[in-house]
Amino acid sequence: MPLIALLRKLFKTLNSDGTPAQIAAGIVLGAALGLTPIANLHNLIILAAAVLTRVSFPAFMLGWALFVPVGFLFDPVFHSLGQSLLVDSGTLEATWTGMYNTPVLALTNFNNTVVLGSFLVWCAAAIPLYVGARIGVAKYRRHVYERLERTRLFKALKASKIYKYYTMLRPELD
Amino acid sequence: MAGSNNEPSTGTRKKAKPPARGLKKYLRLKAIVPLVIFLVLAGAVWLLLLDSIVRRGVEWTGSQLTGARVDVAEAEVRPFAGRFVLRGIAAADPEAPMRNLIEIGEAVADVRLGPLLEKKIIIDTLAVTGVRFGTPRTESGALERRSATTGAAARRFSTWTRDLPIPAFSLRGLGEAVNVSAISADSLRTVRLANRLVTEADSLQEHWTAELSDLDVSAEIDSTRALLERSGEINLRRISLRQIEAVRDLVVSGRDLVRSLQAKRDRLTELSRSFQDGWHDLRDGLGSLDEARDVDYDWARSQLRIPSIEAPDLGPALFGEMARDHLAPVLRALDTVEEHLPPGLKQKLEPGPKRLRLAGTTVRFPRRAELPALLLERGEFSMSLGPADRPEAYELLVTGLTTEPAVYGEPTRFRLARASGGAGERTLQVTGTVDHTTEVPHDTVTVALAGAGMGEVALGSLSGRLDLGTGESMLRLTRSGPELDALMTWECSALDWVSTGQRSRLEQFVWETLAGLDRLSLEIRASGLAEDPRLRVTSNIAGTLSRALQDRLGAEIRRAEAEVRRAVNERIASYEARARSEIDAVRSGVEERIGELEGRLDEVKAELEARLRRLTDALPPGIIPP
Repeated sequence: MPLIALLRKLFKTLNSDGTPAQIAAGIVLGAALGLTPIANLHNLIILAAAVLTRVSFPAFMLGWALFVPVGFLFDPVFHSLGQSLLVDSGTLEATWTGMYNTPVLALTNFNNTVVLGSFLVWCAAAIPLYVGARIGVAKYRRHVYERLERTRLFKALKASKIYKYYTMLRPELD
Repeated sequence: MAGSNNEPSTGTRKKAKPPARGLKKYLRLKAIVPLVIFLVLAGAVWLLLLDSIVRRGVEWTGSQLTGARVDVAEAEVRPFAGRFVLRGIAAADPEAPMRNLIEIGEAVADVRLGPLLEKKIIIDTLAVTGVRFGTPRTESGALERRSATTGAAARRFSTWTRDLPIPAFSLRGLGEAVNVSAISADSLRTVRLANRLVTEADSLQEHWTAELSDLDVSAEIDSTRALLERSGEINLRRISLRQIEAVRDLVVSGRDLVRSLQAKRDRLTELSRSFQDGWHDLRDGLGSLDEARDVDYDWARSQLRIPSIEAPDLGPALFGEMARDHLAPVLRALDTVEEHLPPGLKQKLEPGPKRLRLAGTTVRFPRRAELPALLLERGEFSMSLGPADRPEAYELLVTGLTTEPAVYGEPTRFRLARASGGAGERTLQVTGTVDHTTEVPHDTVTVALAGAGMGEVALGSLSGRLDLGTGESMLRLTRSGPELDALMTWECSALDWVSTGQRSRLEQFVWETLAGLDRLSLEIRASGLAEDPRLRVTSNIAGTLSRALQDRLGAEIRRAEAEVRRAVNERIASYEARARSEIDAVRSGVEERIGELEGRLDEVKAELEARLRRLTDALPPGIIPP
């Protein structure tokens, strides 16, 4: 029982924020988990960041869910990118050798082509994704939400479980 | 990021919270404690499952290496003390699934904790006790599903042993009429080689005919003739002032023509040299005909079942299988060592971890003076060898065993000897060094066995077997780079020839010759490339048998061999003669054409140079430029 109460408290805390910036940041962090293979050290750090910073946690979960299929789809591209950087690029060999022989950094698995390729793609996509998501959410709230809220379908949905996932897009009032 | 919301409000209003300040503006401080507790709980669950994870990891890796099931009864991991204990390890034999290749009672490893942060496993000490070999299994050790890499080393080794040619010992062909009509010309290597040489000679002829046609000298020769004709009309004793200019032009044009003729001549010399090179290559092919003929003699003799009774051929026929059976595990071990202890300091590419996503490629970047990915600094193995009712205790000491020898910088050394205080009839000693610290690997192994049963040798068509009894055996192996040199010797002085069936008169003679021998001195040498070594087998038995057969059957075998040679020679003679004549014809044809062109060019060039000298002399000095 204390464990369940603890988890409830954790999720209550996580769901308390929801500005467009927070949602966009949440989606960006979630995209890391979706794009890169999950069982890696950098994802633990990203998960901790999502929990500890005031990003929208539901958005984080949504970003993760949305980018998992993208990750699967683009795995061959990630592999090619990682291959070209790890194997074919002689100039970077000293960097990789240093990382490979450094405590903790060696645990990141960045010496795997897919892990490195997908992580770098996520890094490159993070800022455009953040800006795009932030603008999208703001525009949605300004132009779409009010009209949508008055429809019967929305009212029906609001009564369902799906709504609780949708609430992260709802404007926060604090 | 937080607190930046100034969007219009809709829906039900919540009670407004006070704006967050300081760290709280960016961090959810309330989440820290629950997160830490959650992580601690997750860690605790992981620790609870660690024993099972290690046990399954060892089983999976072991089965990948051996190609058969590897079972671990129990794993006990004390991660904070760096101690790993495995009990009841049984690795099945891929060739005999109801038997264990090796069984280990307990293995205790002390692992350094710091290097684990670099994903490196450094085992300071490994103590292995209760090692036994060839123990029976209660259930099959065959794998239900094999991956592409499972047992790859074992398959390579099986292919080598299957493909190694071991001549059979058989005397059945002797005493029978030799049916030389069975030798077909199409099957003879000499015929195929001669036909190929003829084709190559035709190609060479065509090529050089075209080359010489392309070298068109007629234009230069015609121009020269025209110039000679025009200059011949001039009376050199009376050259008028008007004619001086014309003569001067003739000399200048003539000099250009000389240069042009010389260029053609040089090109012709170059072509001639190139042709000679090509032709000599072709002629060298004729030398291969002699080697091919010897191969054909051997092939025809084997087809007609005329056995060789020379000692170098009898050795492999009698002991070839024994040599293969003893050498194969050594080669297999070398192959495994090469695969898992790669020499030099190279990037190592391996498949990424198995997962739902694409595995990708994991690249290892070794660096000198760092820790290798896996290192066993010192391992001590206590093992029982010999029959189950009379086991003998041995100890194996291994130092510096690593997957990255160049990083570690020291060779792996191992020594197997009887445990201190142990006694028994047999003595076994193994010492070795595996030095893969540089690009060129250098391995040495010495094995000495004495007082042990040496096994039996099946004697094929002789309907019997040879029990070697007890004796001494020695293996000295050196491998440097791709080259292997292995010498195995057997010295047995209490042979027992065991008859198992009926024989022909001739086979009985051989059997009686062999049965009079009570001592074996056998030497097997494998040398050459480690992946495909040549075998040489010599023994006192083969020598004695060869002499006896020479005395008894020498004349008959020599007659049969002469008949085979004559039949082979008859079949190849016309092909060989045609190849030789075609090759000679190419040379004479092309050389004749080159000589003709050279003669024509030399003739007109000499004539032109003489005429130019006379024209130049006839003109006043200074008219013709130097």
